[in-house]
Amino acid sequence: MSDSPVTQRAKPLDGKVAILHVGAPGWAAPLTRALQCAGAKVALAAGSHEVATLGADTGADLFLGGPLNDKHAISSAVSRVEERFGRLDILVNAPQAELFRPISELSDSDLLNLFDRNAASAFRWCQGAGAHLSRQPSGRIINFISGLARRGLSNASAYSMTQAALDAMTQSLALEWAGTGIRVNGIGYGWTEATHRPLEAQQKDRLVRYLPLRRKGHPDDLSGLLVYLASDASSFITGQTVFVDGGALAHA
Amino acid sequence: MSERYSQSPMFDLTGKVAAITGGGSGLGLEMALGLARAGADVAVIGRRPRPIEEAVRRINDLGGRSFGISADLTAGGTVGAVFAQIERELGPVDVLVNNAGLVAGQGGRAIWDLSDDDWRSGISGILDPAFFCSRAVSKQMSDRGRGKIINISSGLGMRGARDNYMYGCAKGAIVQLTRSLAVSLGRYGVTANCVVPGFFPTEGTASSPMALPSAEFIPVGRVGRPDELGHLVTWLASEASNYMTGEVFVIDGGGLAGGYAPTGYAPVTPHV
Repeated sequence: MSDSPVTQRAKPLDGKVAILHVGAPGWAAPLTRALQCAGAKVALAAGSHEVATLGADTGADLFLGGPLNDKHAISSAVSRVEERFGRLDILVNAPQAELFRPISELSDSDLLNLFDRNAASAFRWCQGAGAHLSRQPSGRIINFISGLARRGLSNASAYSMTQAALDAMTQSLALEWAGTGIRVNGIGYGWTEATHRPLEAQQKDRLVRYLPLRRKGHPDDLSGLLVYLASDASSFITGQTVFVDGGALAHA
Repeated sequence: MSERYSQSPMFDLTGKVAAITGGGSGLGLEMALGLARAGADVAVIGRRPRPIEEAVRRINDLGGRSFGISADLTAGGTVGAVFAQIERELGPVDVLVNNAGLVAGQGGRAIWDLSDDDWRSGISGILDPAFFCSRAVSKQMSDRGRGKIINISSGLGMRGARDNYMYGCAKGAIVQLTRSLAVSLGRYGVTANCVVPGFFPTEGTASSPMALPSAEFIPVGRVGRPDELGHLVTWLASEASNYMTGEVFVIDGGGLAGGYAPTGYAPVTPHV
């Protein structure tokens, strides 16, 4: 019992090193904090120019810059992390570029850019980090995936495609890398805002009143699952996307 | 539409015997008529004799053979005799449609107001007939190397709804019964599939606390037409669906594709 990851006194991610690839500005700081509070060192890679502008303000232990869009840039960033911390255990992909527009107003390049930012970027980070993660007894990858991977919404045609792509990649990679000890899981999120808005103000929205828990989520709501999936407590879980969405997917 | 179906040999049910539970009224009646229009002989099973007689008359008017039988399908011991009688009248059942299920008195009450009996009778009223009838036909279907079981679930069997316990739980169980039947009987040539109807107006829903939602809450902007359900069940009963088993077929005007935001909600990202 004493070495059970759930009952041990040490922090669940003590000694672990994570790369956090994040695209939405409000998400970088809370996700960094969640991993650090659990004991991990965090190298932040910007998935967008907005996060790149934030830079070191997020409190990460190492800032890798970004957006890093090609294999070589990602590969040298991963090497930097290994040089600095001696290892890499955890890759978190939270690219999260949003684009909601009627399909008639979406161009080819809108679709391809969005796919590149949300799905292909995560794919490239998995490629770049895979060999390093497999050197640890239990590497793990966690992809943040919107509930629109599973449900339709008007004006979300392109966006929901990118999320379904992440969801599908999570399952396939989980199988492909199961033998290497790398676990690959998804954190599904619902309607989430990075700002803390008072409940009374939120509940004026028709959308918020529609949600079973009557509020939008905050990235902090996802941190518990992030730490769990990053830790050895979840060592038998792979290929799953687990939703933290205030009940949105249970809704009729 | 149905005339076109029966002209296509793939959808033709001539010479097939279909049995439908709860076939005397509501959606069950529509499905019974759909099967009859495609050429099937239809056994109509229900509780109340008068609607069954009326259903039999309407099926006969379409030129098909029909047999009506009034039975309580929650009493497992009597269900075998019901199907034995259908076999004597029409021949062995090729297609079973498990449609029966009490709707009235099911929803709208808080969980703490539900008694043991509310729970048990609510679940068994929906689940027992489907299980007992499947049990009654599956051996002869397996022996003959063919047969189709079609279970009618509900959107509420796949998603949660407020203050809805027995109906949603039992309809969810119907989906799972379908998968168990499909996996168990597939080797004998017997298929099982599940239909998930969205909102269709019937006498049952009209008298139920689960009122139909306004059409504006359904993505296609209207409730279903009962004959549309008949087309789907006919297709599932026909040779056209022979390789499909264990599947859930949703017919709901787009309802289950959404459910992530209020119907009509359409965010727009500002141009930057």
